[in-house]
Amino acid sequence: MKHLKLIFCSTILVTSAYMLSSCSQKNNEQAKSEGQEQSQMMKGNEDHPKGNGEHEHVGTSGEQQTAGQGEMMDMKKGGNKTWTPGGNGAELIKSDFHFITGSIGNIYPEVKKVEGSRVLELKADGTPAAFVFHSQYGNVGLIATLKKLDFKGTIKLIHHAKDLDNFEFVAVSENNMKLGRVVNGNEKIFDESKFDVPTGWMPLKVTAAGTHYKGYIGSKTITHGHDDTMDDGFIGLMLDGKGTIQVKSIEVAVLEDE
Amino acid sequence: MEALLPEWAPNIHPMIIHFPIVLWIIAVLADLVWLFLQKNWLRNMAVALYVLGALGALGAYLSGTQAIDLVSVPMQAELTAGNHSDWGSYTFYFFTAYVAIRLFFFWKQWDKKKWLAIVLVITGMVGIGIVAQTADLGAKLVYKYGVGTQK
Repeated sequence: MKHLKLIFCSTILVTSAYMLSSCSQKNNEQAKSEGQEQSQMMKGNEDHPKGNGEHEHVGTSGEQQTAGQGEMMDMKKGGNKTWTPGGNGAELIKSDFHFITGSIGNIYPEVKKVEGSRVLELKADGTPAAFVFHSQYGNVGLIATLKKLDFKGTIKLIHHAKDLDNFEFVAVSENNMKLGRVVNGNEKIFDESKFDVPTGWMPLKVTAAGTHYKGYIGSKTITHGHDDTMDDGFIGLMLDGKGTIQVKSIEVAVLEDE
Repeated sequence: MEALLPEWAPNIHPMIIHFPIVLWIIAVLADLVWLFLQKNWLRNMAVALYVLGALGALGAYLSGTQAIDLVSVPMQAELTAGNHSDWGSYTFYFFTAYVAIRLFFFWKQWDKKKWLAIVLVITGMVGIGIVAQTADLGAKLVYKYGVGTQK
């Protein structure tokens, strides 16, 4: 009887080890197949013609789009696109964005060539102005590459925006970053922290992934907070202050589901 | 603490995470074998391993909370990072609650009752499922998105 019990236990142990090893092998095979898919995607992008010089390669499934192409920000989950300015400033804002507060008259948009790249220069007159792309997103990340010239005030990257009273944001003012949301006009801050202000272009990044919200400068996490998810909304830029800033690009990623 | 890390390691999290996984699995196996052999040392061993597994889960949870803000996470990996973080929390809460209950039963010697021991093994297996899901998401962060592969 004692021997029978031992044989039975040994069988269970061997079976468990075999099952664990099978699971591990299955995961390896899945990772391998995902790796192959990813390399094919990357290869596909390499094959893609680069365009007229304003286009650049971004990310594994990235696309570069210049301004003034209408619904340029329509994307599938897992997609990345980078918006760069081109053409006439006022026309550009009218075609690619709409305002949820303020107007073109409050930001005087102008496209200029700086260091070999076209940039959108905005001169804020002190009236809060927020302009957003026309499409709405849920789980999303965006990186705006900005440079403050003589701007004094707060620059916000906004997402899940419905109107001036309902949106989420990462806001930078001098060397302070705030991460939060406004619901029915009431502001709630998830996290707030100081950061080292980079000289030159500042890649300001925000991600909203489920209940996780993060604010970055470049690849460095500055703020990290949690709250409920909000309904899909617009993404864009809000200026609350006076002075000039330049926008070199805005990269948008519609985050892929598990 | 950072001075103790190898030069190539991004943070301490990847060094800790394997402990709760292995300790918990062996604890469940010890519980399972106890059902047939009913040796007291197996019962003691299982409880000790569950406690160590829960301590490992605490270390993984704390180091993970710190690590997520230290590594560079690509935008497309943010949902995976968030889910990994959530499942890591569930693992820690589950292990802690299970160990608290398990120690109480051990003290009262209720875990010697066979029907309760079977329930405890099944619950322990649920713990393996939770930690497996957490580990899978963590592996995806590293091997699919390359998170933490560069210091």
